[in-house]
Amino acid sequence: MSDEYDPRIVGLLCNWCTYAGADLAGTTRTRYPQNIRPVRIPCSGRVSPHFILTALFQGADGVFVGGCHPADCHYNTGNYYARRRFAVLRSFLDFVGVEPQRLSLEWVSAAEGDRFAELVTGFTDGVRKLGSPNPYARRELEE
Amino acid sequence: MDCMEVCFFAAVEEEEYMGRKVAAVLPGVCQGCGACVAQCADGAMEMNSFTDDQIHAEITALFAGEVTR
Repeated sequence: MSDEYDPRIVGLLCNWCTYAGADLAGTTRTRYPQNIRPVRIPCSGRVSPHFILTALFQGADGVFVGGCHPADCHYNTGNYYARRRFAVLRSFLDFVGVEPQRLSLEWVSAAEGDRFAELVTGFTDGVRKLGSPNPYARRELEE
Repeated sequence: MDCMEVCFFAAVEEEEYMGRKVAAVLPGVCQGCGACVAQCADGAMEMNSFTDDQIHAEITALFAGEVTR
């Protein structure tokens, strides 16, 4: 491992849009950072704030949540619930001192492979610019 | 109950179980989005194939065996 800080990013991707968009980015051979580790979930509405906290505790430096565009959710309203939960969690994490750049909720449709690559690139760069690992990772706390 | 309000498909119904009101999912109506699972503050709702335990295990496994920094 090099000395340079290489962020670890967890991607919670909705099965119908963002996961398919990530798949498209792969099949069209679009280049994007390999830091993101995707986890498939049925819908962004399935994302409990607990998942994001688990990712941060386990050592993720950033968490990227992807869902369908508004009014385009496969389950009609899941992404709206995701958006509300995310807004609450973001203000909470801001309060406890996690940089807001470590969290991202984005809408990526199944046809937007390039957009997925762009967003992941931008998000990864933003997390990398913070310059240090997430202070709440469990292995940091145990020391 | 929150799960009933969250469900777009009205697949969650109130049911009486041992003298208490509980939520019950109608399997034929449920589309499997999981919104109710994330919403339930008591953790009573669970989902096939995408259980809380499974997703937490998946996230934890992403960092298994990595170099401490």
